Amino acid sequence: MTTSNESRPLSPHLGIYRWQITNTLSILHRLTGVALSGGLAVLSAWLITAAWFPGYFTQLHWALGTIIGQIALFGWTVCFYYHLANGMRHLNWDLGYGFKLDEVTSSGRIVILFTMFMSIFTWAVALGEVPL
Amino acid sequence: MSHLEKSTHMRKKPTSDVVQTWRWQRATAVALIFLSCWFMVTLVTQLQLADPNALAQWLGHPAVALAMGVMVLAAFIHKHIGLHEIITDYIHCPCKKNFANLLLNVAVALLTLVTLAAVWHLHLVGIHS
Repeated sequence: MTTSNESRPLSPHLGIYRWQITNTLSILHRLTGVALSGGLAVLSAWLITAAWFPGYFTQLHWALGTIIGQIALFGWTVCFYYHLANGMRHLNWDLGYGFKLDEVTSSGRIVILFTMFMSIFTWAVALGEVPL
Repeated sequence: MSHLEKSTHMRKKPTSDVVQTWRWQRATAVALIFLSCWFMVTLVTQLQLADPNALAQWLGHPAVALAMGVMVLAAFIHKHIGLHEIITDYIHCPCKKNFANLLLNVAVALLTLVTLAAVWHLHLVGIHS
């Protein structure tokens, strides 16, 4: 029986769904987006301190060099590649392609593999392990 | 009514705010595919990260400063749309929702302006050094 209820919740009820690759990747797109908006704030701080506050720039650079800073930067790298690849998956859907269940699953797997490979590759280059 | 007439008819309707926002989200997404990858590659391979002067010198090039400015702007628009969507979905109490949106608007507007000013400043410093 359906009843109209003014105070019905608007958001997806994550708790009642079984976790599958499809809905896991979907909520990860949001979570990585939120993480990246934090990363963008750090990027802003990096540019702003470089422009006007060299002392704070040095401190920021030091903070990003600590183990916690490096873990955060690596986390943002993973979020970046994930949001990038999954965002392109979304744009593909917007164009009307890739809606079949097996296509959605395989494109999801590609996004995960791309994210893992690119994150590790990027850090290998950044740390000088791979010369470019 | 033929298919063509129908689509012409639809095009005459004023575009709603929701559709505009949807378009901006996609437009900034496409721009950010290119700009953020370019920035990532530069960050990892070229910039001497500990040195503000190296950063200024890099931004001294007009094309680099322009690309960086557009990337910052696109990223903040994209961030604003995304976080606004999350506020809409998860904060139900109207007064909390309005407060969260106000906070988001002020923070994004302020950070965008100051960051763009910083890019501009570093660009000028880079030209003169």
